[in-house]
Amino acid sequence: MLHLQQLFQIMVLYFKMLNMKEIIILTFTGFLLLGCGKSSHSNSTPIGTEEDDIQEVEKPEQDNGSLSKDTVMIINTPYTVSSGDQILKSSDKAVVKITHIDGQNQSNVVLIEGSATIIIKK
Amino acid sequence: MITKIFSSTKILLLILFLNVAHSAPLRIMPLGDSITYDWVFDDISNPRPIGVRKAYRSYLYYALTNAGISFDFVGSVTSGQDIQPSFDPNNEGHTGWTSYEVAADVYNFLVANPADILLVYLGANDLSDNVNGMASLLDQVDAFERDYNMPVRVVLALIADFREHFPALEAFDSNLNILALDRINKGDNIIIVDMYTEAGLTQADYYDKIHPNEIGYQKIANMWVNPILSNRTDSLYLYPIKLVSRTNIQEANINEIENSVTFTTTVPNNGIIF
Repeated sequence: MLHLQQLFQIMVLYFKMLNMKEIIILTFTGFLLLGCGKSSHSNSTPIGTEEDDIQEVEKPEQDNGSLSKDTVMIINTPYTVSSGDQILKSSDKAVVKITHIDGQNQSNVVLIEGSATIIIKK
Repeated sequence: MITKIFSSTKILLLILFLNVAHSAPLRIMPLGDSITYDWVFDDISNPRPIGVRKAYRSYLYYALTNAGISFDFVGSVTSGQDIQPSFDPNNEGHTGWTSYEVAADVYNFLVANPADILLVYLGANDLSDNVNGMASLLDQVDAFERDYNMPVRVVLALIADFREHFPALEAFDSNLNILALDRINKGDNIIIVDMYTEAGLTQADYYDKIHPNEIGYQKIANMWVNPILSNRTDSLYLYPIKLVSRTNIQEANINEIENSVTFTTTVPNNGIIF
């Protein structure tokens, strides 16, 4: 208890020595450090865990229907591609079924045979 | 107040623009040989003036005008300009040309005079059952569509027989039908018009052994009308060949109700770019 009182007195003395501008800077720095700490904590899940891999495979599309990164296509799985995206085959023969609605910027693609990758336009 | 007036003016201009865009005339290119241009064997010894050569085109012009559509015949050739009632005399009829010769030039014809619809009546000068020239012609139309991002509807005639039955021509039509059906199955924008069996030309409908007379040309003109008036969405047919070559496409289906195209294709070595 004594220690806390001493600490509080030291802090009061310290703040009395600072001007308003320095107090504001300190406050923001504190918030900033707090924020980084939280961000670091959210990324602390190990990369490449089994859970992550399953999400990539089972959920190739984001909620908005477009892919977020280059994707190895899975047979009979629908993918939504946008203008500028590319499909490259990685086997001698690859067959895809493409559906397009007139006037839209996106198309639906399903790999029927072989293997292929969707390269997202950077 | 002034802002409101400007805003209203903008809306009116937009409506006006949309109306003008909507009513752009349908560009139709009559493409073929003497049966498009209008030439008969008598023209060798006693050539008629160019201004009276009209073939089926004048009758088609009158029929489409009566149907109330806005259209424009296009092409680098002018023939029939002196005919009354007057009609649009532009065309790409080239007397004596085979399908191979037309195929070699059709791309440039379209570049010079872009068309929404091609009326193709060819094969009488091929004198063979081989349809490689027609396949080449359709490939060239594909190339134009892809290069210029312009859909072209090909109304393809299985041409009428000669006055005396000519077996090679019947075989030509049969092979052309097979070729066209295969391409349609792969999504090509083709409408087949069977002049051979459905136009109803009889021996009395010929001016000479090959070329129709006025009645024959009226019958041919009537056959073109419905495919021209068809409400198909031509841009749907363009989409697959913008992505891959026709040779990659295995099957294609156009759904006019859903306004969609679904096609199966092999992925070429250089990939598919959307």
